[in-house]
Amino acid sequence: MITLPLWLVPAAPLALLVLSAVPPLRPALAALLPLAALPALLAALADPVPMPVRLDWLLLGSGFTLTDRARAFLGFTALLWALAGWQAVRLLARDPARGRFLACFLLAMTGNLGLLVAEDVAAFYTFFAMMSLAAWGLVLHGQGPAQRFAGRVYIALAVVGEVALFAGLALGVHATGATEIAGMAAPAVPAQATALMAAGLLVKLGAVPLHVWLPLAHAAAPAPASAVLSGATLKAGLFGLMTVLPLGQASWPEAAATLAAMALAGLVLAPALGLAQGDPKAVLAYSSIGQMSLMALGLAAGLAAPGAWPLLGAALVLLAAHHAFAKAALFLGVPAVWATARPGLRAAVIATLALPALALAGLPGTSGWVAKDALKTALGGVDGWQAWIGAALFVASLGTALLMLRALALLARAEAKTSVPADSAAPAAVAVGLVAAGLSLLPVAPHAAKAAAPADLLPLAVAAALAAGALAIARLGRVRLAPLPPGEFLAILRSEEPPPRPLALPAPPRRSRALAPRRGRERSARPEHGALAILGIAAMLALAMATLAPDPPPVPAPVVRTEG
Amino acid sequence: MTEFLPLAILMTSLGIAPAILAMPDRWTRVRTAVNLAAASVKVALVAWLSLSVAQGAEYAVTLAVAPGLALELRADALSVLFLALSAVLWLLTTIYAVGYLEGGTDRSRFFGFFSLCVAATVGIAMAGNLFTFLVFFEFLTLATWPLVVHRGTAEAHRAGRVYLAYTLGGGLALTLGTVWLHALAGDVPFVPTGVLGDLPQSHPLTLSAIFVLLIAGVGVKAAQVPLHGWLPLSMVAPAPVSALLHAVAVVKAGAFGIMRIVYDVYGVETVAALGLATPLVAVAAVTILWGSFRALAQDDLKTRLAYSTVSQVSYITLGVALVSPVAAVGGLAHLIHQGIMKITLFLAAGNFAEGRGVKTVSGMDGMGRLMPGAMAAFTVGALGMIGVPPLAGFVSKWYLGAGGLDAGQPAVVALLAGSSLLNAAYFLPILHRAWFRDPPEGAAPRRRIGWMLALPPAVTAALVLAAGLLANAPFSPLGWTRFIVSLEYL
Repeated sequence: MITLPLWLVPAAPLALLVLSAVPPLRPALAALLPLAALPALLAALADPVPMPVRLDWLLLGSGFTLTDRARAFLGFTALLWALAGWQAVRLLARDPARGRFLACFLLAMTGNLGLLVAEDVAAFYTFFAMMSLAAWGLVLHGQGPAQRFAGRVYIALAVVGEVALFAGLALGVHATGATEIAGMAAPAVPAQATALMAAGLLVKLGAVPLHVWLPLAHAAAPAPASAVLSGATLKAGLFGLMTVLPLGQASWPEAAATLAAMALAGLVLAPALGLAQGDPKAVLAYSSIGQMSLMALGLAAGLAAPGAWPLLGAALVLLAAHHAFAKAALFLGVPAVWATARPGLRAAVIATLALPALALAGLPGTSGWVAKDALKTALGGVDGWQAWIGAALFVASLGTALLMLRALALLARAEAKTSVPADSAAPAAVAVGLVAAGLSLLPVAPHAAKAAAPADLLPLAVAAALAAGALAIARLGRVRLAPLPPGEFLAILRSEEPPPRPLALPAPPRRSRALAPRRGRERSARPEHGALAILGIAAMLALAMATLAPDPPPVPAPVVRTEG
Repeated sequence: MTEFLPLAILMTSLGIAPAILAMPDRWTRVRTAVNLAAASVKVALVAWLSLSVAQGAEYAVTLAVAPGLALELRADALSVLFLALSAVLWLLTTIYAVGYLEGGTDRSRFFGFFSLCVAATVGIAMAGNLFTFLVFFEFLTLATWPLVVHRGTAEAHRAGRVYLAYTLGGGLALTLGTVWLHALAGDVPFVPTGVLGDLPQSHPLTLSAIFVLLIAGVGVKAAQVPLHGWLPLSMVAPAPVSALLHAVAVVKAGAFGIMRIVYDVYGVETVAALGLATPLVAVAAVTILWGSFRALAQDDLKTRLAYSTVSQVSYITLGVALVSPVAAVGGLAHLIHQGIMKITLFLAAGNFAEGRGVKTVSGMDGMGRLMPGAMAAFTVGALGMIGVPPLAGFVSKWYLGAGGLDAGQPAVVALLAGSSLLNAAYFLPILHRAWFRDPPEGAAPRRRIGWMLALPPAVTAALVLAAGLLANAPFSPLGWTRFIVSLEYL
């Protein structure tokens, strides 16, 4: 019986990255890319659970541990990174900037896997930052104007989120004295600290209104990167929130109300905006916003009704795993669609992708139905929410179903790309197979099986009817609507780069004046767009937090200095 | 034995300077051999010294100048912190400078003053009393000036004049303060927790005035706003000089002076009791934000880095001025961390200028493809400055933030957050250009970058990573500063 050391989980992709600095090794290492997630997968499946590891010399004294919840997340996260890595190697086989992409990919993978097993605050923050920053490289990879714009919005929100998380963690550690990330959910953590941590993590989760980066980034990144961004990194935000929010402790109605409002806004906005998109990947991204909002609703319920948390927590893990596989299968399927030009084959591919789409829409019998039913049951136990929760869940399901129809319709019409190799379809096929097998549900406790009620089919039926109606109106009335520009309200800020200025003449020589430091030498310029984006979004978030914060309790009096 | 080590360490740089100055310019090999041998010996000696000091050994040399006035060299834990930084970075910068100035003119003059400059920092690091500190501090001013004006252009001379005007003015303030303090308290040795006894009770106003004079004096070199004007101008100097100025010699000497004055002359409790700690925090905070803010709009790469230095060095001041051992650990560790991060950035920037003729931010397009090694080092340095874990800058920020909370000033966390955002705002666009844009058409290498230019930034970048990743290991900068702080906050 070999016991797997937990540090190997983040170390495996990192080792691959370090070795790829040696050029002759690169081709072999690229082939090994999917295997980088293998230790993580083994750790998730190992029985007994791998022992915690303590590495005192690392960072500020770090450790790795695997909780039950982390285990479930680690299982699907590792599988997704492996599948996406497989496709990335195939898809980018002839890309000149492949090395750069794979480096960012491995770094993001390290971060994502590492944060699930990190025991202490510093390690968690390190891995989280690693994932966020490396994903910037994935978004920017294509180097076009769309990528540039998406990258700017992404990095601005990511940096602001990181900084908020840093501030929250610093406050939390100071207030409790605990260095474990699990200690950040303790009652002694001040409300401001929790709010800051949550703000940072909600950016990653894609909660409205911090979601603006999400559709842009998912549309701009190469398909395998979109698959992990949507399937795995958004879940890292959820994992972080499940770890640091005081769930299952005392009721915190103000926070629950704020979070529920954000979630409901997401459930309504995601289909509304997503249906107007013209890019299938953007539509899928909006569907992710909707699904993640559903998970945020679960978190809000946990804050409102601590008693319901055990059930809610289990349901959220189920939902996360299900969404991870189904959404990743769809994103991985996009290149499979591009690779097929023949109509018959195209129809077969679309039909295959209809399975994860239907699972997301909650077709009875699929993983989606099981997960949503579990969440519905758990949400039913929250007092005061019964009046509207049913309607909200119906809207969510209807929205998802409509978005899925829209995405498949757009995919069916997508132009074939000869540059996409046909074998990039294989990972998508495996992902669809996993959805079909319901493998996504393996690592978590089985939900009590229940017979499907006819009402569960209602959202799907309504969606189909609406879609048919819309199609009929469009055909009969010859209506054509132009898709919305990507980026929502930020689209107005989207500007093409100004043409390069003509070469400036050298400045005329100045009479030397010893004490005129500002003059002459300095060439001042306007700060870059990216710089302005970071600062602007930071200012917006600070303003929002200052106005929204439900009177924060005063910061605890300074602790007496430890002597010596 | 106790007299040998400090003198030997001083002489490794001071002793070779006249020889190098006297050499004809064409003796490249001899000069390089002497330089590198001396720098390597110094690293070894400093390593020996650190081990001994960690075990509690004491080293002191005293030379009486006049009754009641003595030059004293002493090695304590705080000296070792600065010594180690200057020794390691001197070696790397010397290697770099040899490669950088290959085929240039006046190289003997350059390397001679380079050694003198490092000798001055050694003296500052080991000064055992305020008088010795003052002597070496002024010596540093003069030894650096020929390096700033090395290129001999009109621009360089102008920068040199501004540099002298600022630093000599600061020196004057420092001298006045020192004389005044001598008149009041007699000899002023550096002793943890201060040497003033009950003077603060009897002469609070006088001591406050002296404190302002002293801090203003060293604050010029530490580039505290509004005394920072000389630093961005000094960018005309060759890259190794900028690196030395920003990471080791001048700026750090100023920051080190603030530490000595606060910790070992006044004692941090006394500073707080006199009501001087909060104004110092305010100065640091303004400097941090103003420096970053000015950096945003600089297109010249080295000028942007210079404003970044203005901002980052104030982290050290902040850590010292916040009366908290946790913040002190952060500030002291940042002395090292800022040094290795900033030297990485400057050496890499020098490589861009040498290898591709690129000196502006807007010219950085595609640099990641053109010069991957130098750009990777630059990236590590830049991310470290932003405070991205697991790099060195994160460790400093974490301790400073915790220290701010410990001192009952949660606004410090907001300050650090704001500074991180500003740092991200002026560094990330550079990274974007370098890695995610195509190089301009027809870009041709200007000059081949040999190992002497390529190796130093790679080593310092590795140090940045190690200082953060292995922060909790023994003999990391963080570990050493914890040891120092345990002496000050007994």
